[in-house]
Amino acid sequence: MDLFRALDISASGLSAQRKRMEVIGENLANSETTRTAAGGPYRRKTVLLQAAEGPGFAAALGNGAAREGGVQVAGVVESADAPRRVHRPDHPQAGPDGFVSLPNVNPMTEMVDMLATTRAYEANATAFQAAKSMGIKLLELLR
Amino acid sequence: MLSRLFEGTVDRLSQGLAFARERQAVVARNIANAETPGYQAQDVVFDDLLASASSGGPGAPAAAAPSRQIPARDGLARSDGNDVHLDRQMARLAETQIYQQALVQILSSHFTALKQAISGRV
Repeated sequence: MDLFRALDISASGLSAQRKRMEVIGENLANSETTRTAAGGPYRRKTVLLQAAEGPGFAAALGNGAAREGGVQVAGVVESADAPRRVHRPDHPQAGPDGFVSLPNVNPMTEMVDMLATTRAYEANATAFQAAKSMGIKLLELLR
Repeated sequence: MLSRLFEGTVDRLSQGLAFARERQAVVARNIANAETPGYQAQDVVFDDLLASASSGGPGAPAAAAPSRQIPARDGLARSDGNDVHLDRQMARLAETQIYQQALVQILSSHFTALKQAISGRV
């Protein structure tokens, strides 16, 4: 029903931000991981967000009442940045030159992203709450 | 006869409610896409259409589309091309909510008045 479209849109924002938070958590958890299944150190991951087009978007544009979707996760990409090279000759995975490749994860960047994600999640939750109370207000007409 | 009971006030108010719903959806979409690169914030306008419908007198047909979308243009876009300003969006959210509550309030008192007229009791 049309009344719940705003709720759907806000829910899509909530789940996209949650996915972002998961990936940030993964980056932080693996900030010292030197070996992955693919070989080499862990690489920082980023979530790509994309505006979702709801059903009948083009058709609905004509009469002004566009039915659009919210946001969607277009994918998770690995950073191509070079790994950090640290001189640790005693490390079992050090190369012949004594250097170990550490993940290209910068905890500072992850913390900033985490703050941004938390705020974005809160904003979506507020919008959700607003849509919900509007729906409840409408139901009061029946009383 | 019965339909005349509801045209005018109730029709206009329900158009306002449809607009509030539309705007809520658009604001929700803007907020959901606050971190999407290249996304352009949208807004909904209603006033001019209401004016054109109202100027036709009480018998004028209600506008088919009570609202239409326009780019919000709240300010400069960020370096990633996104121009959603969360503060503006939150203000719009609150605005829309209060506007909708006001409409519901008016509709509700209108219905109460109708009920009193029908029942003959005050």
